[in-house]
Amino acid sequence: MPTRPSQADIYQTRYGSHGDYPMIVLAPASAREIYDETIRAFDLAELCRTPVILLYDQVIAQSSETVALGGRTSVHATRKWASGPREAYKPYAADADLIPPMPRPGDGYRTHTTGLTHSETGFPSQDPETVTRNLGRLYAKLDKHRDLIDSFEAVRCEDAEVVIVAIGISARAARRAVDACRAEGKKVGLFRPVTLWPFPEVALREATRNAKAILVPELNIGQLRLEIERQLRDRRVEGLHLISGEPITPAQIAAAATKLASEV
Amino acid sequence: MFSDAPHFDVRDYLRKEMMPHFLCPGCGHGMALRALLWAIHELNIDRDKLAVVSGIGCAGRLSAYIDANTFHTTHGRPLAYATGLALARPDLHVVVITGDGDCLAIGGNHLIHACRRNLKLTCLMLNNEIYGMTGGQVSPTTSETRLTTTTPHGNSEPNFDACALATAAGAGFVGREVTRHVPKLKELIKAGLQHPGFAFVEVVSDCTEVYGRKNDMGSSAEMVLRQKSEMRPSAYRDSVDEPFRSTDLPTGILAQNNRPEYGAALRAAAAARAAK
Ligand SMILES: Cc1ncc(C[n+]2csc(CCOP(=O)(O)OP(=O)(O)O)c2C)c(N)n1
Ligand code: SF4
Ligand SMILES: [Mg+2]
Repeated sequence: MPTRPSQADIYQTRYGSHGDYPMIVLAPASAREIYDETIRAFDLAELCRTPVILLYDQVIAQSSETVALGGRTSVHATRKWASGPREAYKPYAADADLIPPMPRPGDGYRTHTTGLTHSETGFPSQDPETVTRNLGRLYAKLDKHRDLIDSFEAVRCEDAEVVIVAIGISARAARRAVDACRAEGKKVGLFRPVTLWPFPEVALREATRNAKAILVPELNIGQLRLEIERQLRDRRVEGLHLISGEPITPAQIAAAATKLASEV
Repeated sequence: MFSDAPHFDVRDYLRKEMMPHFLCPGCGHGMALRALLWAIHELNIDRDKLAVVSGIGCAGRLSAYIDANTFHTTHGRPLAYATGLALARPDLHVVVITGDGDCLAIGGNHLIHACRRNLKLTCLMLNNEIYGMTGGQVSPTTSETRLTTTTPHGNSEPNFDACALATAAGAGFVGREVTRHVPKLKELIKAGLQHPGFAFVEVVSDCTEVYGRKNDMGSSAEMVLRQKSEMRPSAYRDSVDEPFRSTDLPTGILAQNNRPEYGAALRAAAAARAAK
């Protein structure tokens, strides 16, 4: 449905390419956050030498909001450039941070770049040990930088019996639903992953410590819900799925959360 | 070092760690690679400033063998990668190596727009009339009646004339040569490398192992000799039972113009705007 809101690319962004690889996906939920997360996307892409996807739905993309653009106004990422003698240089030999410095054409390294599996030299390789080690490094590289990659928002989760997990416009509506439920005395909170992939699982577990049930409102037939079910196997996880091309309203989410709260 | 050495030894330009190469014995792509390296040698191009960008396919594998800055990119997209590289780094000499499938099928749109923009790049399209790497499927340049794995009754699609396409799309330089004449091919590539805009060079190459075998075209040597008989003057066209091509094959420089080069035009526009 072009130009209508949906949130059905959650796994497309994570697993859309062929082969095995880690991925960073950022999911802003406001005009201001799009601005900040775009800067962070470039920073992470440069720092971790990896593609980063910025994912947001049609409502977030096309809504007009007044924002004060303070703070950072430019990308401050610094790329590590290759140095040292050409003979000893290996373009995919990583430093301790697991990120190899990058060669620049013209600097004399004359390296090869390929989408094929390759060794530290950059040349194609199908040696089982080599390809296993290199793919392992790509995953370990992101694991090592999770403190910079992870980002989330937790609203009134400390005592929440029902935690809503949502992204994008569904999280905006859920934020209103939390206030409505709290006004009625219902202990409802919101966990919003700003970094969608890798999923901030430690923060999710912390935010749902006291939760008896989880509600996942989303504009698809049940994508984010699958991940939450996987993370929180011991908890009741319910979805609120809308695939009609319309956003979910705060009232719909509040009603579902209230019902869930009364059942647990 | 090479400027004083007229002698060309192809091994000086190859990455020894990549040997043995993966091409089938007699594959025409090896001759195309030799001609390109010879042209680079004769023009004394600094290999630190040489970037070779290739797509996917047997042709696409060639970049890995060249001791320069090399990029083996995605299928059909080498011109897109090369466009970014050449715009960001006008100090580099950017050469694209692509196949007929890579350049005209999945990458056809990139080609026409690269021709239209006229950015300084040299694009070598190695035309063996087939998807060689994937086992011999029909390509946009497969001649009519030819057998491929996807045209078991003979190809009924008319084939593309890539040079006519590039000319019509506005490429600054268009030429074609056969691998049978490596020295002539080298001269054509040299002319392309020296052209200040987008240079498109079609290299008539042979896929001996897949296309040749399927169509009973003989050994690789016989296939190369065939290139000569196929390039016969028009008067002889009807004297061969089964024409390889529907018309005779024009070779050499086929079109050249002095349209503005895109990179320079873009930089000038940006500078003019910045000065305002
Ligand atoms: C996106 C994508 N689609 C399809 C393929 C499979 N594929 C690999 S090589 C090739 C065709 C190459 O043909 P050509 O460009 O003529 O090169 P040749 O092997 O004949 O030199 C195809 C379709 C791929 N690698 N990537
Ligand atoms: S399959 Fe054809 S094009 Fe590919 S290396 Fe073999 S002969 Fe050359
Ligand atoms: Mg081909």
